[in-house]
Amino acid sequence: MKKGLAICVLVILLGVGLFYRTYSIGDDSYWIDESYTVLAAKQIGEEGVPRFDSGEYYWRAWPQTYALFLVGSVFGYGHAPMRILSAIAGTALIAVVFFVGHRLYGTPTALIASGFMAFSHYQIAWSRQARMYVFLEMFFLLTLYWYLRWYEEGRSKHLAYALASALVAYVFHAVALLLIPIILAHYILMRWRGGLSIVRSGLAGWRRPTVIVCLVVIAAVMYALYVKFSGVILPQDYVDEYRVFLYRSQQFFVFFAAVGLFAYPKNTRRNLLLAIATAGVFCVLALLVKYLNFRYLFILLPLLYLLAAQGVLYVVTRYPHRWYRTIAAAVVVVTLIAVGFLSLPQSEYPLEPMTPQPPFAEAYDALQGRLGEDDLLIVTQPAIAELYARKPDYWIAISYVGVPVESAGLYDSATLTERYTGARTLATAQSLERVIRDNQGFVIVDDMGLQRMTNEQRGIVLNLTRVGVWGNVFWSRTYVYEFR
Amino acid sequence: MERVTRLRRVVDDVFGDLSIITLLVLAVKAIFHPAFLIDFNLQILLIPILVFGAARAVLS
Repeated sequence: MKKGLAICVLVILLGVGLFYRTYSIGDDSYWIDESYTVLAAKQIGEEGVPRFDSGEYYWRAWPQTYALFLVGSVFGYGHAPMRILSAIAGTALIAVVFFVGHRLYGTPTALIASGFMAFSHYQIAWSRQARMYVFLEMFFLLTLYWYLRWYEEGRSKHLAYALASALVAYVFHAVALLLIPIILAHYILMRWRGGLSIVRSGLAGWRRPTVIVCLVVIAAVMYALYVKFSGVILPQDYVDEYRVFLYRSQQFFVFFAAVGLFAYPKNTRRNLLLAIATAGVFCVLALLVKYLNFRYLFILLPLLYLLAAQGVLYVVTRYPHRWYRTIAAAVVVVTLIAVGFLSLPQSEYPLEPMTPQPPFAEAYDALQGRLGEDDLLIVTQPAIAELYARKPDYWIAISYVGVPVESAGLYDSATLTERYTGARTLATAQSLERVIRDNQGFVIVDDMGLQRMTNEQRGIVLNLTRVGVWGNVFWSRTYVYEFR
Repeated sequence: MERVTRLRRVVDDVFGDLSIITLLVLAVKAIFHPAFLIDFNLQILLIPILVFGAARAVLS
């Protein structure tokens, strides 16, 4: 393929990708997790560090948080400024996939994979969120790429790039720790004979101080990781949930990734790393991580698309006849359109199953002018309230992380302060009833909040005067109740 | 040696045909939604693809 044509197609894909990622980017309300990131960025302005009023620090993805603080200082903390960095990173990721695909598999595969990235519903959706996942995905991919370059060429600068990428990926999200077993598994599998001799020689020279120091460091790191994640890493069985999600949402790509894995024998060794990474992330998430979060599978999509691109290229170029290639390419495009892959840009994208995306912004807008100084604000999502109105007076204790609220660490049981805003916690139905009886104000909840209250708490809220409901899809609705 | 070459060619052909069949099945299902394909568990197609793919990688 001519270089000029490839660059031209890539530029078009980047343009289209940016358009999809920024189209009406400010329309959708912040969803729950976005509110933590944006609130942490705002807090930097007051505290100098990402520290909430509750006293808790928010160091996860701190480069993004500081960058959002800078953007917010100039352009304000509106939806569009807070999301634009992710949109730019999501667009840049298309170029990164092209770069990686081009170096590993050649230009046609790189262009097809970039096309998948540009139009992928999930890529677009998560690139429009003020969250860290698209940055994590980028550095996760770059780590695998630089490791592969180091493995094949043995140049230490590539290893340095891989380590730096892995570190940056870890700064954005701890899921990046999965890179360690993935890379180790690939290395051992590819070099198992050499690896065994390294182990044997290491054992033979166990008195050597370097070996002992290495063992101590590895043990210390393993122990630190165990202590840090012992509450999260527990035996689970989410295999069916993740498998069904991946299969239903990425069916075309799952099949063609299987084809692509073996389509070109010269690529099989490289593809093995992508396959190990995909299987490794999937197995750890499904079998060991306490929380069921489909968004963690998001980091696998570039790998899936790089494999699937090889599969598509293989099928389309299976026979040399021009008519065959034209028809096969047309069938691929029509199939992608039929499965809804090549859809028009939307202002709202569903993120994943069971993630509530209620229109909080509309509800708080409607409350403007009605919320007086004497009115109490009682909510189930306090960070959202602080962004759209003011710091809430009370938080109705509900768990939104999949474990009982008592053990979820969402509030301090001694001081009853909520984890993020430091709002006072209403942990029981009696305390909620007492506050409502003696005061006036508003209760703002969403479907998840209502569902996860106790029956007594829910009964109290539903007996109040309903001001309005925003949203028309279950699990993504906001309710405002008034008490006088 | 000749038998291996012949076997490799057979495996190559089957893998290639399987990949085209996969595309056609996915296309028919996505475009026409025929009842027999809606109810059919397509995941079973992955097994021959992976088996012949692995055989192809081993033989090449």
